Amino acid sequence: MAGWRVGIDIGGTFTDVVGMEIETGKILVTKVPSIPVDPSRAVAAGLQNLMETHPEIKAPDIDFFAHGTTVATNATIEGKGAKSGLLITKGFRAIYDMRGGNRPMGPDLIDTHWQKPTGLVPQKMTHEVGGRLGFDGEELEPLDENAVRVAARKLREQGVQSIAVCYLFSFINPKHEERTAQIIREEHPTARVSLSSVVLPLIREYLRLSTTVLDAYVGPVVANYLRSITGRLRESGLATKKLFIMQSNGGLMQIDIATEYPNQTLLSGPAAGVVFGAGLGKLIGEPNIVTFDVGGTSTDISVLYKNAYQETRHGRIHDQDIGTPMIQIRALGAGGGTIAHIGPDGLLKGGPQSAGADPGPACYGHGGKNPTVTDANIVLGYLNPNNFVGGRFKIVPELAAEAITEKIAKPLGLTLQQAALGIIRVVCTNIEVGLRLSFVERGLDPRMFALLAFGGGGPVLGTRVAKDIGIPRVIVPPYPGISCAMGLLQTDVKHYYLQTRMGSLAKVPVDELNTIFTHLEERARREAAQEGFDPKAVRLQRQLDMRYPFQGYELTIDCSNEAFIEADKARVRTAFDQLHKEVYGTAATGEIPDIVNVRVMSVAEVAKLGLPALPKGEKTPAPVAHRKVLFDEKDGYVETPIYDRVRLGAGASISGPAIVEQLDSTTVILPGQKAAIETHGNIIIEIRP
Amino acid sequence: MNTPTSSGKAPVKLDPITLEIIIARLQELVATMEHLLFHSGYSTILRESHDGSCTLLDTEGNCIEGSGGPLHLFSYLYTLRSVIDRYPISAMRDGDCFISNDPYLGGTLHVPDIVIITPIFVDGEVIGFSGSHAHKPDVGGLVPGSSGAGAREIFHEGLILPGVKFWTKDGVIPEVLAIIRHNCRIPEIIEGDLRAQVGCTLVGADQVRSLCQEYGTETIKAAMPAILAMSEKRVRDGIEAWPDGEAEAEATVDHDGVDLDKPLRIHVKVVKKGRDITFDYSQTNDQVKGPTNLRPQVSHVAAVMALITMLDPTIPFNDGMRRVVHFVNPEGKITNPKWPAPINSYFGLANVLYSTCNRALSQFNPSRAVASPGLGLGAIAVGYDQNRTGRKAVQYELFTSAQGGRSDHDGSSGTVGFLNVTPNTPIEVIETEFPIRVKRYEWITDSAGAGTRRGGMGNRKEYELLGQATTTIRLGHQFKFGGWGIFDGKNPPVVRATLNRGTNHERPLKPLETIRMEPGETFMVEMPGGGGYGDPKKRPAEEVLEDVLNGYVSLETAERDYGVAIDPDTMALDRERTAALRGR
Repeated sequence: MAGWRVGIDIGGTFTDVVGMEIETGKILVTKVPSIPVDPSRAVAAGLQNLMETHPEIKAPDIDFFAHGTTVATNATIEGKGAKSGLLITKGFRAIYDMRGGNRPMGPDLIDTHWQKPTGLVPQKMTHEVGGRLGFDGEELEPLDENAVRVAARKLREQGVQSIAVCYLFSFINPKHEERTAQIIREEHPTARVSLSSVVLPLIREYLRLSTTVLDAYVGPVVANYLRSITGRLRESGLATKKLFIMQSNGGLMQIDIATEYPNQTLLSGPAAGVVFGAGLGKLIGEPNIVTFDVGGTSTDISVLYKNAYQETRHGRIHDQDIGTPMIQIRALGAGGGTIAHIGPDGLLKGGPQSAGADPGPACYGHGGKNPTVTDANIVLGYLNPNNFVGGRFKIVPELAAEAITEKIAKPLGLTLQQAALGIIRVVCTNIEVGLRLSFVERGLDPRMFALLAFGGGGPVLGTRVAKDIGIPRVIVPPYPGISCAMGLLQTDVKHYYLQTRMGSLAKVPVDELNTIFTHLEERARREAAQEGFDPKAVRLQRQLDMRYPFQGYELTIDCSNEAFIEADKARVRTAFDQLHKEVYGTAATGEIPDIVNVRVMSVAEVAKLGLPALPKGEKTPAPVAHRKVLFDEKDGYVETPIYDRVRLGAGASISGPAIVEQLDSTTVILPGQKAAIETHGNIIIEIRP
Repeated sequence: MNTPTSSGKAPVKLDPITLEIIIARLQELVATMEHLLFHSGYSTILRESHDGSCTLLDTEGNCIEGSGGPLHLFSYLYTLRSVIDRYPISAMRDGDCFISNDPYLGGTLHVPDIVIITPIFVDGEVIGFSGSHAHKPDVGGLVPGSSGAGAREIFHEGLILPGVKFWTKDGVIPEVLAIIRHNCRIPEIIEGDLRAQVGCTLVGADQVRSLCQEYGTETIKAAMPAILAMSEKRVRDGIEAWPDGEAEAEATVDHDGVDLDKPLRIHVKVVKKGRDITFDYSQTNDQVKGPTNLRPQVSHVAAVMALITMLDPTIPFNDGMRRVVHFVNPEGKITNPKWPAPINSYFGLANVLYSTCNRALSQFNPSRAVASPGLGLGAIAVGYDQNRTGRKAVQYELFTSAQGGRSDHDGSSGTVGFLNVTPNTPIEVIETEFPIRVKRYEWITDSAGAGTRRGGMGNRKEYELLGQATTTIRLGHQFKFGGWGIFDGKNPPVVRATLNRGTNHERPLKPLETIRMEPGETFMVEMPGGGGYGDPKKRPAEEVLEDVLNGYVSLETAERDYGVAIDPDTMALDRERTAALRGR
């Protein structure tokens, strides 16, 4: 059986599809327009399109399906999540709005005009419920079931579709929250319920509460979406159990399980692009990469120093705090669909509103009247109106010119060209501020990095942005428009199984540790089998989370996978002391550390996607056409050679100004820049400052 | 003090990209140090409330970069100077760390703040210092938490370490550690916090060494005065744009905790001339018997913070700005007390002084005027005879009020006056570590000063003791005279604390009062919101309705202060009556 793996990534504008033959590593790609009202239809259409254009792929032969989606993120950014309610412990209305532990950075710390961000559920949709647990989980006061009932009814009347529940100490005893969920189901059966004891069962009530509210807010949107996607995949003939979705932490999770943890998909889409960046960096020997993923609605940036991505356990999505572990990614509201407009101060602004896929940029001819970045790209000659997505997408350049003229050029008294170039410059400046911040936060020097430009729009803007902030090299991968989808096919399926067992390392019996480890490993193997993996092939790692008594944060120590014996305690203690000294500069070797959690990490490794070597081609390839392109106002439009990417072989070199066209993206090489095709087919552009 | 000192060597040319990157790297360095400090510390005030900071200093003690609030960053200079007085740089060795918490010889804000200073050796030469500052839950003294109303001299406020060697390359100096351990109520916690402080300064020194390797030691050394000069220039340029002139403002504080019928006068006169500015405290109250005096490191930074927020908060905070700001602050004032006056309850008064400076400065730049934050800021310290493991314990918790309204927005809720931080210790952490239960933590209806832009909301927190304890209400002395509104905005209420609410033993608590408590007894703190900005009758009626629905404003206040009538049955706006109330 010729097995295939398929990755599908949904962007704001296009849905990207990659198929890979497991045996040969052969890669086939396609893309279809996204359908924002029902993104799952685009997934089905994309799969259909892949199988129609490549009849060698048959649905029953697809053995592995992985998916990345921005459904949850978009709902949060656009404020289009579910109308949500919140149930909290009686007497504790201040926890959510207070944002305990909040400390703004830089000038915001002392700025008297600073504003604390507001939450997703207002006080008027928040209901207090009697019932109290103690620090050890003991019930001090029974749950006020009637209060739950009254609140659920009230929220139903208020039209709430999703309810977050977060009670004090539920992380150690979930019974009150579980009973609350039952009562809500009786009173308001159609509401989705997010329990903090399920979403993030960890101590520190504010972060758990905020994460639970986010889960509730995006929950109905994500759950509906995943259900419909599963249905459509089955209708399309897919039989495999291995249906996965990308999680915010850069690992895959089975789609059925993901419906229970919608908040873990908040960075599902962009995470795949980061995984792709780390893989590509290793493949071509670029240690420091900044991923630059420009889609239709947003630009996602992640700094990969030494090919590693950072994980955060206190992240933020559109000002909302989230405790779910996730890859550090900076999302900016700038993409091809970003709308240019004139602000209240009379100045030209780029975004954050986006024309999305529907109606899309004015030049799509779907009724959009607002000028977008894509419209500017058409007017300036960066994009070829006759070859957009390989000519499968009709572009009306006159509509682009008209929108920019009417909405920007005329009111500001500019020429069409000035206005179009202005749009690009304003949007690039916004992007550059975000990029600089991403370096600054980590204290890294952009001159040590290469910018990996992908997404449909990354290679259009990448060379300009890199030049402005001093990044010396831009890499454009072979299929820039579908990089996230490719990242999906190189992601491992990774899970953590964890049980809290607090106690001094000296006092916790080894038998008990072994029992917990064994129990967690059994669960890991069982779930691996459910996910369609051979349980024997899954790699397991035993770990202990430890800290010194009185500390509040743990360090994770790997243990041997053999049975834990008394002598191992000394080894674990030494390893902990050493790690503590390494991380914190000192160690308390006289103190015996406490165990907090017992963990097992399971990794089902997925064969890595490689890029086959590209055959050598002509050193100085011939352009397929020329057209007039505007790079800089003072030079005006210049006759610029156009190259077809599929005709470029390894070893080819191109001097800017030049434009390289391909099905899924367009690469703009500015005047004076030099580009070369390396052995795997990546375009490497050297940027002169 | 007008120009950066030169080392005598040929100056290194810094291009704008390199300097920008070094600044960013130093910012990352202090942020990393701070992360390590908070994540490895032992006390809840350090690891949960984040009452600590980290810094990089030049060889003269100027703060080049720092994490955390300016309050800490301006104090390192004094502390480093006191260390150098005792240990000349030539006598320091790689791996040494020094310890100080002396507010008179050094620069800590009060005795519980301990500073660790570590010289950074690069190729045998000290090129600067890394430092950390962390508030300890207890360093001995009259009451658990070390800060009590009974203090009449600094000696009553805890163990004083005058800048001595604490650590060498071989580790801690056991004699010094023994003295510290035997002079505080919770030795293992204090030792753990100090270890975290030492650790992060050692990591910081290491990171500076790698920066030197990367960019060259001379480049890093040249960057330091350049960074100071940039902030100095931005402050001078900003001031220059203001008209020359004078402005005054004043405020009243209840008393010093000793002479209860004697209100204190806080007065500031600001003189702006050319590219310099002077804050004159000579008409402010004389120093007092009780512990509400402010050392100059506090009274000066309050003015500098007010200046920066009025001028441009994006100016990076460092010791370069000190060269622009001058003080008339005679010894013997509450803003410059003579040794050994007590100072432990500085925080509330520092916020009053800051707000007063802000008020005076707004006359130079009315567009950035703000109503005052909720005053009476401070903390509680609960000293337990036994915690859950049978040892003595001290719970030290900081309280928040809210910002005042400003031209463009309501004040933010849950901040601490001059800092937009929310240092709450999670309730789940408090109850896990200490024998206490939090009964409520909620917003107080009508706790914000009404205005077109109202103040942020005040909050209420109530506790029930589960074990025997000695509790000190370490709030500012603003129980009678609170914050203020501006431009016809209303004043917010004042802070209140209550013992055993709802029982026969209920009574109000006084600022800095220490009480012996038995299991089952309760205390409650009600922090005020911020002052209002502008006439409340001009606040859009829909926003007032929203405030009522959210429980922030009562129906009565909506009608009385805002002139907005809401039907209590339908909870809808009564537009006709509202128009009548608003005189339209």
